Amino acid sequence: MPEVLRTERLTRVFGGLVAVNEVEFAAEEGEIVGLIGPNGAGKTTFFNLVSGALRVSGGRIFFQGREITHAPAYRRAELGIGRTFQVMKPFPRLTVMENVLVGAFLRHPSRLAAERWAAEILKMMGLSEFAAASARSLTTAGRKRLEIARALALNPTLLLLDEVVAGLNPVEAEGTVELIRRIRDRGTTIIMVEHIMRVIMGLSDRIVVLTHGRKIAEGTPPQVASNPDVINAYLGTH
Amino acid sequence: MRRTPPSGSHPATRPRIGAGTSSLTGALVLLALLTFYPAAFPSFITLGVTIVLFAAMASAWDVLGGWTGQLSLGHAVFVGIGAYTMALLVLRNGVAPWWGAMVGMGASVVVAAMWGGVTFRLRGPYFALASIAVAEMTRIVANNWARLTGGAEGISLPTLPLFLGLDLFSRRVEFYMALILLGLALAVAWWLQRSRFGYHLQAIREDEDAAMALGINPTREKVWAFLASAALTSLGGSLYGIFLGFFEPRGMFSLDLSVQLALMAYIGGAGTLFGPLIGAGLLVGGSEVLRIYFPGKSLFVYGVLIILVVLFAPDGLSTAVRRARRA
Repeated sequence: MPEVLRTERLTRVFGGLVAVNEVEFAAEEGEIVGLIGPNGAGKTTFFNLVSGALRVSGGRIFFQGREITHAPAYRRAELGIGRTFQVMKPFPRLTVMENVLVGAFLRHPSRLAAERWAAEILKMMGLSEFAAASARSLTTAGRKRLEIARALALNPTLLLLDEVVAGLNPVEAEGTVELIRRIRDRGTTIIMVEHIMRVIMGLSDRIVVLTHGRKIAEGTPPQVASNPDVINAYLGTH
Repeated sequence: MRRTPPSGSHPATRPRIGAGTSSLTGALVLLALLTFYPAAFPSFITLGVTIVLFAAMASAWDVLGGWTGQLSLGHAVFVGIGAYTMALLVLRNGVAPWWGAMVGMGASVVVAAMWGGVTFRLRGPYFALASIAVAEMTRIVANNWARLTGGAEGISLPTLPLFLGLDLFSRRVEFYMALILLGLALAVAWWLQRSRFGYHLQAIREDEDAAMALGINPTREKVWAFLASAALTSLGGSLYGIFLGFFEPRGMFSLDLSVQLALMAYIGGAGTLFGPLIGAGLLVGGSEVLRIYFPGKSLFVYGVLIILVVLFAPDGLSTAVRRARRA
């Protein structure tokens, strides 16, 4: 399988804190990679580095073999990296449809084609009935879906999902899990951060564990779940 | 081969976005009605010119301030450049005022490109603060560079050549010129409401990080919005200069003027088609009425009215009206 994303010694420092510390990471086409770790492990910072929302302090990032370490965020979106934000960022004054349309315009400059594509995405995300509603009127579950819908509108090769299941009720969560599978089945590579172990263990082909910015383990869900370092990091044995 | 529009498009696959056609009809009806204004209210023609001209300039301001969400408190720079470039070319070089207005527009675009290129790296309140600084610097330069601008004494326009047989100092002619400009500004706003570029600007306004994650280059789009806004404002400034006949840097480049344009858009509804127009009507017309009924206290009442609007219609009057109608 061709490699979609690779980071080499990726590092980000905030003042005296090393939030991401020389992380070596790779994702292959069509994979779902789970990124887990205790709070403050650097998962969201890692996403921000890969999507270009934050500048790196050191190391390099490659997307489909091409270096993007210093490319601005919009350029990475053009290349095919879509992301959601953990702290959701809908465009509140626009309708749900328009929110998705903004993303759809990237691949479909004509308005008619962009609208068609956006409508298709809304349908897939189960948001069609809210198309004309303002984005701020959506529930938390709706907003989380909108985050995914907007990123999907880019038709991304790589999708970064930051806690899109946390905070949903069991039925909603099940729906989103199903959606993530379907997105992957369309050929999109997914890297996801999630706190709900049942979800991440069930969905991921591979799991990477971060603690204090460092990668401490990597492997299939069962391998990671039985790794003593991981258990240490989560339960803390001193 | 020409593509035929899909005939059987049903609402599920082709949802309506915004209020495209209805707002276009509204704008056209409004402009058509306004053409009767000079005949209907001949004794209030000066007020009419002021309202329409400020509506046009406030709409121009709104391209950047409302649609893109970049608060400029320095747009008087373009009013001043438009007025001064036109007037100086008329006075010194005998250039016709309409060509002078075109040169002024070009100058404003160049200034906006440099200004935007530097300050759009700043986010949030810093762009607004920088805009005040740029405008104040421009005012001071215009005031002191007397050999170029005539300095603090100001300049007055000589007799102007006829424009297509029309006397530019006639209030009626000025009214229709302002109306054409307003039509142009409304056309731009209508296009922003529905075009790809317009959605890019709105996305930047709503959330710059999310916009970037969707492939939008904020600095580039903001600069384009700024150029369009500056060009339209500059044309308004040239017309404003003709309307006044005499002006000085203190008025043309004033912070007061910049704030007025912003205020009109906000009161009426920034980033809406009719908002700046409503705001201009209310503030220009309102201050006129207040001057008559509350002599000496008009500014106080004006202030109270603005506070009321901000309290009860924080998204502007046009948004409040639309919401009330929907409820």
